[in-house]
Amino acid sequence: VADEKDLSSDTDYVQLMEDSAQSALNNEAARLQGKGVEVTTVLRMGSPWEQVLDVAGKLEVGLIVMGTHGRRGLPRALLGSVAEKVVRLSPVPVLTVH
Amino acid sequence: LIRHLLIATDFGPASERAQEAALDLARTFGSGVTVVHVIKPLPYPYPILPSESARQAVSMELDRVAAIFRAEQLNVDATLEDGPPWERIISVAQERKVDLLIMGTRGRRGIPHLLLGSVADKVVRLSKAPVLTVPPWRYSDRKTAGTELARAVMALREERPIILAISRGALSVANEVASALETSMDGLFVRLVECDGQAVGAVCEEGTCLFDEATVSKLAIPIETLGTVIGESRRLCRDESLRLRGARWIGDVGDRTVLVVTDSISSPLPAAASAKVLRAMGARRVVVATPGGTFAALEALGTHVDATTCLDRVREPAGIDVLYRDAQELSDAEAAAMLSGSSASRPSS
Repeated sequence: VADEKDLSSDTDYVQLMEDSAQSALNNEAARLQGKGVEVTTVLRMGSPWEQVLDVAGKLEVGLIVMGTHGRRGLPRALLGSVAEKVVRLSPVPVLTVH
Repeated sequence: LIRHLLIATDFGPASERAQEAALDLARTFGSGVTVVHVIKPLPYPYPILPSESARQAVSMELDRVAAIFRAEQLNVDATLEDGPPWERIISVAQERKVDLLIMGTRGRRGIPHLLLGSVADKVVRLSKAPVLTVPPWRYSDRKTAGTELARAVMALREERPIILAISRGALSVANEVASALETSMDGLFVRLVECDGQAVGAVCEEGTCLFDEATVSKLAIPIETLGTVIGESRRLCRDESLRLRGARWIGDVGDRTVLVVTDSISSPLPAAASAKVLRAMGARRVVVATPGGTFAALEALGTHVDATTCLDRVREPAGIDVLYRDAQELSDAEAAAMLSGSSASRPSS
């Protein structure tokens, strides 16, 4: 999930963000597929916790798994508060991993 | 993989589903289990710790929870802690080197930053080990949901509404509403028509059909296919009605207020189809009441009925799947008994 606040109206920049997010997503999917897990990837733009809950609802998942600490410069507090919101609002169980 | 798990409980409804999740996982992995309850110190000027008898009562509750795990031949230990809950929970988890912490949350109904909700927040943020947070079920069963729904529609009592359940699952809900409003209820059966897993319409037992024209044209469903699916849905709907209500038709609704009750609304179509039938039968006002529904479906339904009452609005259908802890619907015999005017559906005076 890319945060829209980080995006300028410059479509080239949006495209760049999307491409890099999609390729990171594909790498992660390939890694999991290598372990024999069936994977679907979804890339969304918008408010992270809203999008996470929306996708979880659409795919009717039984569990949401997410990290509580950002990597690659993502501020700690940001991902932390996303997890907090998701934990509080999710209708299904949430597994948070430090 | 999970050698040892910790379940933090407050013994309340918010912890019940978490306990069940813990039991499921512990059984699957043969995990050792630590059950924790934390007694929070009361602020000054109250006594710092609760009385010995209160502590004993809590200790018995803890034993009761531990016994649930022990009954499954799992290795259990239970510990009663004093202090700030989040801190004690994390500290016990570290001491016992648990692989997973499990705890309930208050769910969407919770008062933010109060009690367990904020404890879960803190534990999620500060635990080194993974944390599984489990939201509570919204209602323990349909009957309980009916009792809550009845309170929300009490104002309709003056209108002496006719109460109609539109599905088997709605019967237990409607029965409670009817008894609180001191009236009887009946069933008018409606069924969703689906094509390739998409809702394209709804049929009523007497034959009326309502289409979602946008979806029908978007899916470009051939007219023959549509005809077949509708025919099949009609047949199933009529069969169910015959089994549950028998051959008699519902009573006269002419110039009356009708309260249509469902057990959940994730598509506007079934309730809208019932409204179409009831209007054709001369109903003056059609009001729909449900324990839970999605925002989108309720909004779409708004144009078909005079009013809607929904206790719990959720964003997506997944929220509907977890409305009822006990998802069991009535059997044919139970439903038939309820609809034949047995004691259950008679007004309680």
